[in-house]
Amino acid sequence: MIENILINGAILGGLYALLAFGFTLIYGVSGVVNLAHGAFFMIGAFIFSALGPFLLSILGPLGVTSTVIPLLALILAAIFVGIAGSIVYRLTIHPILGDEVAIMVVTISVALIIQQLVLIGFGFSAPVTPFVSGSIKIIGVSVTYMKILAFVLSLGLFVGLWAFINYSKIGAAMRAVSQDHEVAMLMGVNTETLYMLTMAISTAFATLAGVFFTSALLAGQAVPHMWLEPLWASFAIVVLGGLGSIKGTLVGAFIIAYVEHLVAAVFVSQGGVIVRAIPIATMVLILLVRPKGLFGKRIEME
Amino acid sequence: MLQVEDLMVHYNGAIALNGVNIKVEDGEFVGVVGPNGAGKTTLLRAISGVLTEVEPGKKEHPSLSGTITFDGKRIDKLRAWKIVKMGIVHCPERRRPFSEMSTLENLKMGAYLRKDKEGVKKDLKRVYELFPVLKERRNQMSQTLSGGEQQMLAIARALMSKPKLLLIDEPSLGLAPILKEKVLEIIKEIWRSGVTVLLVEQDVSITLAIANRIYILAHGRIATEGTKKELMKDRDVREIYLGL
Ligand SMILES: Nc1ncnc2c1ncn2[C@@H]1O[C@H](COP(=O)(O)OP(=O)(O)O)[C@@H](O)[C@H]1O
Ligand SMILES: [Mg+2]
Repeated sequence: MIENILINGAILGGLYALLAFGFTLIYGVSGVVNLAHGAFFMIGAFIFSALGPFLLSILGPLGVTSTVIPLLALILAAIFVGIAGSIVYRLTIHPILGDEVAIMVVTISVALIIQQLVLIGFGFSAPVTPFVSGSIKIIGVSVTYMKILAFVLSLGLFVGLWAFINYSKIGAAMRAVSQDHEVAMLMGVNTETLYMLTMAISTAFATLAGVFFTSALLAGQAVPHMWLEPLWASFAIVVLGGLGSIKGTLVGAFIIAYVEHLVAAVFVSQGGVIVRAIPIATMVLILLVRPKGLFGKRIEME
Repeated sequence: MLQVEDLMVHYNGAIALNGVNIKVEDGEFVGVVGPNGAGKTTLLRAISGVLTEVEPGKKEHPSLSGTITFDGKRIDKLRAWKIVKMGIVHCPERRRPFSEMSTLENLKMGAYLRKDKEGVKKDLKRVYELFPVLKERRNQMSQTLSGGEQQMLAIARALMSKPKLLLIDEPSLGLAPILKEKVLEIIKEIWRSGVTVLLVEQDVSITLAIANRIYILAHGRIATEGTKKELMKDRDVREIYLGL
């Protein structure tokens, strides 16, 4: 049982880290608490699901193998949602950037609109099946290759984005803006396009997380209402780690993941229901002890 | 080079600038002096364009009217980054280094818009010659620098943007007299190297000592203007505005 918690908690933690990174990034850079983050997670899974058969129909006859197609669909879905995310940002959030309350109202509305659009466009569910099959045993626990792939890709992407933020010129502009918006503008940073780019990265990462969650952890079905839980989880992780802190996001993701698995193991019979309350409950408990989160001094993007 | 005409700025109804006219010729060193709250910072933020930019959590919506032209082009409706690109660089009040970046990273942010890698390298060398202490502290987080070092960093960072016109907001604020002297000497040296300077200060005596021409700003209006000699001749000006 311990082994089980160890392995599955780690996998969930990795995926949570990927999910929450985008949420903390857009907050750190533009100050936006994006309550539509989960909706981009959800629509990403649907678009991935639709792209699979479509790509197969055009690339299949050309001899492209069926393992390449899901990866291609994943990349295309992330790019598509990233572009859509930055347009949504520009049209709905940017004009009200100074007003936190209005942003919450607008982003939750965006989430509901996306849910309805998905319902109309894709129906009640769509298959997001694992794109690799088979499993192996790690310290006695059976783990699917899909879970391993999702975990490795999640952490790889996390590290990649972290390096981008710390070592690229655009990353430097993101950190500068998060520390002092006005002075960053005085250096010539075009904040409007920087916020749009950040939103694109943030929503693209949400899409990747959506595909990984549905194919590796959930039942392989995307449904239009699966945006609230990832939103709560992101929220809990990011508040727990300290809003805007990347290190905190990583640590927070693993804490929430392990607590979920621990609680599920203890309350086996009611596990499914109780687990849903874990992210928020954990967050509240930790905030009682450390009101600014584990790493929160203020916004920092180390 | 720079011309500000009938500039009016309101912050949510409260007036901060009330019909300001100033002019800076190519190669001049112009000073603006005025007490706290006169509108000096507002003037510089209007010129550099950040006054009307959208910003997270920025509740006030300043409104601006009047015209600002630079090298014959209207800039009062331009985005801040475009104004930087044209060569107007604003060194902000209270230095404001990016506190979680090293000295070197701060300097690189100054060169953010520049594509001439060689030129940036050369300017970095020049800035290190001008401020040897910054070279020593290049890998240190800027928040660990002293106030004087931070002011030098702010000026150096602005230089990295390759200004044609440098706007400097109260560089002497909070510095010990000896540091003040030093910072002003360096600003003068920058001016001598061909950068036009618009300096905003509360400290009257240093501005009189350094600027070619001085505007006196009070309550959002230009009270008077002239060279040091002209201003000193007028007894009222001397007593009321300069406190000398
Ligand atoms: N962000 C702001 N919001 C509202 N009022 C402001 C703001 N900044 C400055 N003011 C007001 O505008 C006037 C001029 O301020 P400022 O330009 O900072 O003067 P100075 O730099 O000469 O001290 C002051 O009355 C000040 O209270
Ligand atoms: Mg001021």
